[in-house]
Amino acid sequence: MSATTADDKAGTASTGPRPLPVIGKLESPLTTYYLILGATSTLVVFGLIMVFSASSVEALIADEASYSIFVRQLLFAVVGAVLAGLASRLDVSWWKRLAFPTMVVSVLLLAAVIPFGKTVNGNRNWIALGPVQFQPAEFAKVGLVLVGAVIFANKASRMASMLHVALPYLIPVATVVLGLILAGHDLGTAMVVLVIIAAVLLVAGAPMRVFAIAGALAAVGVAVMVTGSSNRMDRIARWLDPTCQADPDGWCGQSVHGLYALADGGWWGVGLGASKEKWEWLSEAHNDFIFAIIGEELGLPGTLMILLLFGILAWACFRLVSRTQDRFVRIAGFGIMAWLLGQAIINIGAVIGLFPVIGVPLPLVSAGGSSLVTTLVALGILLSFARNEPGCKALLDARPSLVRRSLSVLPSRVRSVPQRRRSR
Amino acid sequence: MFVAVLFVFTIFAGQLLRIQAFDASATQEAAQFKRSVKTTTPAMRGQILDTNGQVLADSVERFTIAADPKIIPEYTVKVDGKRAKVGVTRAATDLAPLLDMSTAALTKLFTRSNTRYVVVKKEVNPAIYREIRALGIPGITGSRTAQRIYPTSMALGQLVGFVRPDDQSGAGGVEQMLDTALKGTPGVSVAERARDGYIIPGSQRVDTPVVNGRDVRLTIDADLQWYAQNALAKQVTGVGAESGTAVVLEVATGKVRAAASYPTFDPNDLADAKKASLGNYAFNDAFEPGSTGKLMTMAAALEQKVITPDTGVIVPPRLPRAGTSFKDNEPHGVENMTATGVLAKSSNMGTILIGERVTPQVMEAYYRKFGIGAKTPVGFPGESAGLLAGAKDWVSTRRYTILFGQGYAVTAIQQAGVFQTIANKGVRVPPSLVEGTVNDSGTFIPSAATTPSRVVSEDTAVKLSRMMEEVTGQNGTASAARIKGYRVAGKTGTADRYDDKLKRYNGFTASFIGFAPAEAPKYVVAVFIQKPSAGMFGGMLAGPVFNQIMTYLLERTGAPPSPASNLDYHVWAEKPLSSDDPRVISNARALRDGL
Repeated sequence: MSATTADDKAGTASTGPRPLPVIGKLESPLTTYYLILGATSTLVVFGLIMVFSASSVEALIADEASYSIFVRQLLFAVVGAVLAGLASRLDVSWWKRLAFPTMVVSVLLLAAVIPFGKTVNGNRNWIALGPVQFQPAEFAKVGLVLVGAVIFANKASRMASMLHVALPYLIPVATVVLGLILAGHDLGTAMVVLVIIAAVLLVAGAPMRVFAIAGALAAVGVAVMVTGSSNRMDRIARWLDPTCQADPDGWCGQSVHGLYALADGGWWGVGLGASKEKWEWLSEAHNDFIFAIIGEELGLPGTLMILLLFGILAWACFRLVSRTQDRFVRIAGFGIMAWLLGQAIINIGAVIGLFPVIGVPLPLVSAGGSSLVTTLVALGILLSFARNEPGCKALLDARPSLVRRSLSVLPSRVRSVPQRRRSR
Repeated sequence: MFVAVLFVFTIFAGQLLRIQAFDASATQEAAQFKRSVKTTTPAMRGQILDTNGQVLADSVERFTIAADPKIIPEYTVKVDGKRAKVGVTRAATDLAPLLDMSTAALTKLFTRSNTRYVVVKKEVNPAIYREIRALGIPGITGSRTAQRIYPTSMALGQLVGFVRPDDQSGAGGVEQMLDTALKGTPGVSVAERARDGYIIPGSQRVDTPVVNGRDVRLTIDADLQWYAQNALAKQVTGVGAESGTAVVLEVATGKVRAAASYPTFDPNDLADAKKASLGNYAFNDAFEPGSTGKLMTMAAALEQKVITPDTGVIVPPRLPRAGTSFKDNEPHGVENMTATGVLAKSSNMGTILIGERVTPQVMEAYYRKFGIGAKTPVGFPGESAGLLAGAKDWVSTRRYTILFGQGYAVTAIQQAGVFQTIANKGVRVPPSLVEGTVNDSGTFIPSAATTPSRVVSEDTAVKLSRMMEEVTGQNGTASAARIKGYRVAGKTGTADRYDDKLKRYNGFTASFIGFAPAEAPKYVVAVFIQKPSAGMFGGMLAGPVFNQIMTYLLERTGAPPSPASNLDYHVWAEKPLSSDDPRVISNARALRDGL
């Protein structure tokens, strides 16, 4: 892919496809903004409810309050929402300035994980700062997207050159991040990071041979990672083994119980809170496998709704990316979209038995503080991009304040009350 | 890119439809099977009660405590507000005082390798079990069981029977006989559980409701049985007998009010029980009755008008029949007796002379009508039918021995039934042991009464009863059975006892069966002493036991003393008898008649 095709694409996209009659009514400079805001809020609220439901039993059995995990998640959601709100108010230029500092901090944190980190489920990817534990890899995702966008935004005309594509984004930035993540044996995050890098390169217009080489390298890397760890090797081998996939007590137990949960839910679900698989059968029920609990409690409407919401998010991102004239916004927006949807697809695909289980959370829905906060920040970035769409800012600024908007739905009784009193 | 996402999501949606909707049922079943846990609630076994409602057998709830050595190390308790894993050692020290076991023994059980199920203790009290459960030791489970308790212990052991300790199923006596009614149906409920065994709230479902066993009420009077058992046991041990039986039948109803049997066992403690003594001799032991069987011969002869109570009988010193020379217990010269005297003195030769005047076919029919050779309707486990050959096989000496109670076998219950028939004016009421059962709604349902049948006429029965009074009379064989103030009708028996092991006659069966007051008897008491080592005569060995039991009954029922009988029967013929007299029974007349 050359720089010209990328430009052509951007050019055609900016005029936009002919809107369908129905969608046409929704067409407005604010559409992207509200789609992202709406889909994100719905997913987060939905996620909170489901985290509460899925975690309550295990929390209780672990002798904690049944809402302990939920409260923690709620706290992170609030923090994330505040940060996202701030992020959405920042101008695009700020993100360009923040890109490298973010990257540097996350690389430092990632490096700190190796000596000071904490191992959870065989993956050394946690770091504790005081009472707060988080996964630096999550921040690295933001950094990678922004840095990539900054670097390639300025390289529009040099994308044909392998050297310019590779330096400095692939080498050293992406390589270092990937290396540090893999050093912590976190294959799931590594996969998502790979998706992000690939997406950044793709939208930046890197030549196809880069993907061929990078793909080959990545394949080798994954192969090495997989064969280097008996744990992961077994995961893959057993994913392909049908007897394992039918044994609820074996290695594939998590996957099998995930399918049990989905099947239990059936068409309409067993009802919110009524999951049986969350009773210690399905491990990581509130986390990596929350999609299964959604399926069990809310049935097909629940699972399809999640797909729909991510679909809306994808469409909104696509709108943003295809309408913008700013290369930075396009690359960063596309990178974030690839991150969220790539991670969602890896997660859901594993739960529904199409992919092996490699352990990534479902963005915005699964329990997990750093994941939720960084994802919300990423969406805040998308919102800030959306606000900078032509005409959007003006419309948003023309709105009455949030307080008055909210109160305007109440009937105004200021005058009617004394009148009625007089009429007596 | 958006198209790619849509494409993937479409595939996902398709897969979701497959998993959640179209192919869901098989997976649902597998999931439910995986989570479901079936609990069987054992049914409480019904009580066995005596006729007055006294409890003879009862079940109490107990728990079998088991351990899973793999999980016990996870035992966690709060120490100073902090949760700490304390494991096997603490589990053992916590449980030791509750289970009354040593810490060492418990530790040994809890550390057993390669097993996930170790029975720690059986028959643990529910209150103790609740305390154990409150400790919350993981891997310690209790399953509800029952323990059978027999408050009357040895006195009714052989009658009430026992249950198998493992599954509480009836294995002997009434427990076995009425097992179907007593055992109930265990309840089955299905629930879904969490991985470590918590039952998921709201997931319980009852498949089969538990139906507790029904209470059954026996005809047995526990107090009477206890008294009879004691009197019998004392005599059996006193005379060094092998075993003994005392049966009390209610005359009007045939209900078995007591069926004592010794040596017995304690159903509470089966480990100490001898296998041979697990049955009830009254129902299960068949033996040759001896002279008490003469009652049937006399009844047939009276009914067939062969004799009247006053008919003269010339009893010779020896009576040659079927190539043998029959004799009586005590040697005597020629005696001029009445038919009454033949019974009172228990003369074998007199009985032959009378009985041979009734054809074997007719005689057999009488025996069978008296219930000989057929099981009673009680259906007691291991009950014997006795043995009575058909009339065509009454050949050789047997044709004659059967007349005085040898050559066929009866059970104590059957033989007591013969006397019940006479006491009940000729109507036999087959014996019964079960008063009734309590149905599921708690209502007492009486058992169907046994069908009475007339065996001999009332006239015959009254006359025979009066003849039997002479047995306990001045010249009779059972002065020990006499009870002051009451007319006691009875019959002694001293039979040669066939030993199944030695395949020959060895020892005696000493018996006395009778009823009082003879004019209005309420109970028949039958006492059998098998193979006594001191003495042999029924009147001497069984008579005193009869006397004690009958006296107890008379006192308890408050029976008024007997008036004098208006029938004046004599043991000895009042005038010298002539063998030429066609009414007098003698060997000469038998020869004349070609018998």
